[in-house]
Amino acid sequence: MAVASLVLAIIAAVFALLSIIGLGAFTGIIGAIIALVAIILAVKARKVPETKGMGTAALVIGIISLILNLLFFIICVACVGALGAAGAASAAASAGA
Amino acid sequence: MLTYIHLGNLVIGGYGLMIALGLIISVGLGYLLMYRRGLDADDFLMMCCFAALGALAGAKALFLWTVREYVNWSRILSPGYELGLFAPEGFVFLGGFAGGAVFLVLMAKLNHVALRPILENALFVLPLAHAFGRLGCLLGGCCYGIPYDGPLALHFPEGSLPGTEPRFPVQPLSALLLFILALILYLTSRTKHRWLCPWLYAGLYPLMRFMVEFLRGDSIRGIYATLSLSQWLSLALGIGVLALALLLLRSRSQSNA
Repeated sequence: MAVASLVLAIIAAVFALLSIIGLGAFTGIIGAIIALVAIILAVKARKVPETKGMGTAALVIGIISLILNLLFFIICVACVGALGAAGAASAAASAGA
Repeated sequence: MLTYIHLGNLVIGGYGLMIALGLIISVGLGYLLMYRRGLDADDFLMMCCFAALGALAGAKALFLWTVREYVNWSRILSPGYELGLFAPEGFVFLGGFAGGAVFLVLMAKLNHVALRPILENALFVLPLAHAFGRLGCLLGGCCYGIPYDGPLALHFPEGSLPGTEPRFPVQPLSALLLFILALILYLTSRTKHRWLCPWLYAGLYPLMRFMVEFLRGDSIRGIYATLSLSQWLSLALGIGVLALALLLLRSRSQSNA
């Protein structure tokens, strides 16, 4: 559990880094999901005394990765940006036809 | 209107910034509060993550359902497709609320975590984070209000989603109402009546959302029989909560008799 959480937290950190340097349009959302899973596993690892240290490390990396992934790529919840773009595209297509 | 913050070569979306701030502040406050009240703060954090995973899935699913006519389903998994599964935009709060709630209950059962102390003590984090999200909408120029030219009208820049027409400040209003709801829940959680917190949230949020939706101008989200999808969902949630409360009160009075 502890090793898995640490590995996932590091992967999430790499995804956050990719988001920061602008590589990959969808790394943010995937990185955020991986970071959430890493945090869950880290909390479970922290409940076992032998793996508490590794769990805490994974927890810290997971939280930082989650925040960075969200910060750089989530644009709008409950928004119609994509819908607006689709509507505009469909209107343009109708006008063209 | 602040939409992006430029830090050298880095560009930070205003919405993402507010979501991250909202998460840090609300979950951080909830964690501290649970810890100070002698409850398992780690369990609270784990449940927040489960709820977030369920919320992401639910919010995306409801969004895809509302735009199903525009979606090219063969491209749904394409990374660059703006209506795809991995697109960073396109989430609906009420779908997230339903998905988060279902996943939260399921995972609490599977992991043997008591949900009641979490809901009674730290439910205020939900409207608090949501309020920050609404401020993010203001920065992003989405979830805008109806055309309005009175005091406090919002003027969005050219090229933004609502256009240059003055709009009702529905995002700040929603944020204000959510901050008030968070304060009510926090103050209730400090009393011996903290069991009321989930009921207050489930009763007051749909009511608030139902009213505020009349001031929303982004009708492109879909209007069904004069009401928006969010209003129908709020109505269903409100009626469901009321019916459940009446049922519980009735069964309690019967058991007392």
